Amino acid sequence: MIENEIFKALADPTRRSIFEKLAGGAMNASTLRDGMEISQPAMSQHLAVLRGAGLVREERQGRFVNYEVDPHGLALIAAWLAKYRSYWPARIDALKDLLKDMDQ
Amino acid sequence: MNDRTSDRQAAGLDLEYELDAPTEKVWRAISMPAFRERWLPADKLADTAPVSAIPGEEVRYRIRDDKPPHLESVVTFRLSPNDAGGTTLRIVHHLDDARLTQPGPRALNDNGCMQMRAA
Repeated sequence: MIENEIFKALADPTRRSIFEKLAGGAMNASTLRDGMEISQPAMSQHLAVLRGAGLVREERQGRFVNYEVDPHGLALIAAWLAKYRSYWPARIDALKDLLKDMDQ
Repeated sequence: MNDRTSDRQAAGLDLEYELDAPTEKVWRAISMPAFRERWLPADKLADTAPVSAIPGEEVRYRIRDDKPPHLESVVTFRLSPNDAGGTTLRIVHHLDDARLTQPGPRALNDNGCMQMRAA
């Protein structure tokens, strides 16, 4: 199921930050590596996983390859769902702590 | 049903939690800014003022994701007393970002599989 693929792909913090960078706009692999401590082969591998999960697609322009997130696609929605699926349980734990601290 | 736009808007989460506190107390925790801030910080919200509120029952906030492309969504917190004297909190969180309602190259063809439920 694609949703599991997406969840696994984004469970890795490096891939999550690559995805978030691309969600801000299309980039090629070397621009993508700017500011990240990551080798070129490792970046290629991460991009391959993100592509495999349908989160990122590549677009060839002559000798260059740009990577992008389909701005209207399923990938963006699925990544959002994956994030908030783990976000709310953590918020509820904080809410429970608050309820213990509050006066009746 | 066949409207792509409404399918996309429907993508979201529907979660339910049992809390060991009376409804009136949980209401204060989710609706009073000083309490809300302690478990749902303002930097997650597009606006600290609720979109709507039914005192003691339901409050809705607009959320703006902190990471690009900063998708906007609306979360509804709904309270009801449970049999144990506590509160059932239902969280319904839906994307409603205007950019997602534009027709895209990919179809979100099965809303059912995008809906996640938790007991």
